[in-house]
Amino acid sequence: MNNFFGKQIFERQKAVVVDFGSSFIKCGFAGEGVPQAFLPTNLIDLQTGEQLEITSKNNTSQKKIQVWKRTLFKRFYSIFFEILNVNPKNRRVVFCENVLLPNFIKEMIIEILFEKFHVVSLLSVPSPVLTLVPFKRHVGLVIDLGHFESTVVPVYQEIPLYSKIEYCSLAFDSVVKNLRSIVLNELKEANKEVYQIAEKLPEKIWNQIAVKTCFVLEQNPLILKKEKKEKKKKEFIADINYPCLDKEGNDTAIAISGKARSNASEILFNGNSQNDFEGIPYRILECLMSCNSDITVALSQNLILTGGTSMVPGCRLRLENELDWLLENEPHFKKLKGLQGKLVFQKHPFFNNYLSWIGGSVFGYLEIMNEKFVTLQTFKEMGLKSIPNWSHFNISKEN
Amino acid sequence: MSLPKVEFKCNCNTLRNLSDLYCCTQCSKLSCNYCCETKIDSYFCPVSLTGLSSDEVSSSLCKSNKHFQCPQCESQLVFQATTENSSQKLYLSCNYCRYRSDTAIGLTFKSMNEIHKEYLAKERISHTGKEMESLKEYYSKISKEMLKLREFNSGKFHRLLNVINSPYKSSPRLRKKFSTGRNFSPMRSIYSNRYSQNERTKLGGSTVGSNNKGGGGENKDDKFSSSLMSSKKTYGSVLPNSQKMKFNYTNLEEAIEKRKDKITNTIHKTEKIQWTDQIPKELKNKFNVTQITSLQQRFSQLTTQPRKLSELSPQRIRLMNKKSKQCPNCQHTLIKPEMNPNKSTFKIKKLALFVLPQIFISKITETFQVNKQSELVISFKNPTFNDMKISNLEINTFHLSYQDQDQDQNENKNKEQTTANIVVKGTEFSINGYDESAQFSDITLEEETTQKTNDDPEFVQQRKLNKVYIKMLITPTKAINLLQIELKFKVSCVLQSKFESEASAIISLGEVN
Repeated sequence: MNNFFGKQIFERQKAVVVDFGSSFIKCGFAGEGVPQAFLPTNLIDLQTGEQLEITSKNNTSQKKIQVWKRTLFKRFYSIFFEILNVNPKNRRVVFCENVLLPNFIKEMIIEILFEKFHVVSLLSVPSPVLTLVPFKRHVGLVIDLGHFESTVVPVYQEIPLYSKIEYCSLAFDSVVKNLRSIVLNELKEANKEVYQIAEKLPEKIWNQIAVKTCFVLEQNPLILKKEKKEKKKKEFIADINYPCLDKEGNDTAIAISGKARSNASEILFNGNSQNDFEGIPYRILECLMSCNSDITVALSQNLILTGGTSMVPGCRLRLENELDWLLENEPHFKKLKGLQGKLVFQKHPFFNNYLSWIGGSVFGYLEIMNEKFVTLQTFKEMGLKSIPNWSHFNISKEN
Repeated sequence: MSLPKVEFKCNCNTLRNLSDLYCCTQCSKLSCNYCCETKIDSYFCPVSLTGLSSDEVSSSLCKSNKHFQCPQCESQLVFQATTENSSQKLYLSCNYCRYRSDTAIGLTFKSMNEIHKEYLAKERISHTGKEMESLKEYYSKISKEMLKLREFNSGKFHRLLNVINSPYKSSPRLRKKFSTGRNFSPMRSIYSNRYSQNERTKLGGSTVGSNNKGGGGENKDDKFSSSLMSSKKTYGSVLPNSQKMKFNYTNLEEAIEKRKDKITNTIHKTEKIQWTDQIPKELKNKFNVTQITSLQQRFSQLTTQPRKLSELSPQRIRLMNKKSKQCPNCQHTLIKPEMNPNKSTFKIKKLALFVLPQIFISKITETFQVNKQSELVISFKNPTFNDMKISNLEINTFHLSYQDQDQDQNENKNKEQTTANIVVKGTEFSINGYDESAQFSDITLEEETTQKTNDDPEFVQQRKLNKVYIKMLITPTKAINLLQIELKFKVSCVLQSKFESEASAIISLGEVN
């Protein structure tokens, strides 16, 4: 590290950066280009066997707080001592928080880090702000496609605009369920033995099948039907056999048709008949419309895709096409018609998986961010239950 | 019917088995895994069982330098030698899934030392990466500039406002446009140079209201933007490069009209980004699912995340560590392992199993019924070699369940109602220590022990070696259902033994259905 006063024997230790996602936790050291590990967030309580999810859908109840504390403590224990090989007593921690995380989970994490692990200081930044760092920008519309839910968050001058957030529960989870229902419907008529095997397969294996075989088509087939632009020669998409074992132990295979492979991800763009009637491109444009007209121009030129589901092959192309089509044909978005052809998805040299982690790594490396770290003393002096929000910037002494 | 187990209450008000607890001899308090403080003592490699220092660990990124794991099945890889064209080459092979590095990727080494130079050096470069270095340089530059500006400003914000507003006192319209509230933001004020025009366009923000010569081109001022001199120049004038623009205060309206065209140009100019990703044609044709990586395999190689199995390369094995634990009250060590990674023993071991008596529920004579007296026998077992005295024995029922521990204690006191009457006919007794030679003696133990001691047979039912059985009489008064009666009682007492000179209070809880 460069020291202002010449060579110093004491080198500042690297901060620990932790990003809690709904299906994977990314952890590592600040200043490095890649996280040390991707851990699956299996928050399973050992005493009661419950599985907890870090999403926005949690209800607070006092009985559950003990359960949450135990599982979160074990998770952090394994992160610090088993994977990173680090003593948390001398380290600062950068925590990338989900924007819609319920407050009681955030308070618990802060309590655990300060009181159980005696961390030196803590900085918690909302993850849309961190995803802008690799692009060297301060303005952007962050589209986060996760495992259980996806959100669209506009960020202006490093403050996320909380009142304009759009949320929908269409994400990889719904893609997997869609795939499962399509495949099982086909197998019912075709092959009853394999149907019985496929019905009993656990969720983990359906996740794997979806990761390995699914992709996204370029054009929406429903739209093509409406406008009667279907090509005469249909594109051939091959079936794929996924190997599995018979009752007797012989090798069989589940046939995953081409139709299932390409139509499984349509649910993201067409919507669900139960909860979310509109797909993700609709949500993006709704968010743009609800923002102030001064900001929409800047936002439309800085669209940012993050999240693991956005790495499904063909996702970004399809989003561009859908957005263009909606701007042309949907009367609801008349206001935004001038943006047609001018929406720009920004490029970056990293992977969509860990974009917000990289932002945290840069923030933990910079010396100027030292003011924003909250130590245990200030936390107790202020007498608050939790660290104030990122946009509450009156903490620094100079102001 | 299996007998219920007895649990102990830890310092942090949770109930645990006796085997999970640690007992500090100095302050005589119990602690469990959840409340005691852990520290890493030493690091070691799990394959070769050699110790490492903390500097080596951080320089090698928590992974061993000499041992690799198979990318397909995550088991250890072994070096093997082939002779090709009269030269010996080493390659890595997996004994579990028959992975060979020379046929898969073509990865061979000439000698063991070569691994460090080529393979690991490449990996270290790709780990931090050029892109990350450029990001860090960019942001540290900006932060340095901002620090210098701050020193220059010395925090007096009002001076700025006066300087800014003075030339435009005549025109309120311009004052509104160029007042400092416009581009104010918390982060930008910290690490962006708001007066440097080049930074503003790079940062992708709105370029409305700035003197742009058509969208983010480089200016000559760029070279000098980082020095103090340039910041002094821009400090005095609101509009950057105002000297170049030759802003005339007299012809304001004409000048604004001229700049309007430039403003509109900047909005509609979009950088055309060329994306090269399209769905590869291989996806639509038939392929073998077994040749595609699963998510877990991809995440072992985060820099490349390949889709095909043939692109995976062997990764290094993660290092392990040994931990020591401390009491949260007095900071004395409870557990300390040996430094030698070959040994799995401990230097200091202060478990509660060695200090506190083990409590079991040994007999229930009849099933419980309301208003009917029945017997219950509890046994205390002494793990130490010396005698143990127990005094002030109290057994009470109470209503607390596992889940209600979070509620205030006041509420519980009001709700506390005894569900049973318990009669214990004594408060003091002593337990003999563990005697190894007694195993080999011929005399029956019961005769010997009951003859010597004067025990009330209704209190101390039996004595065996280092166990004492104590009788309780219970008459339940309340029932939950017609079928169920729930009893929870707690035992509190004062212990004295030769190891501990101070008293220790234990509260244990048992559940009987």
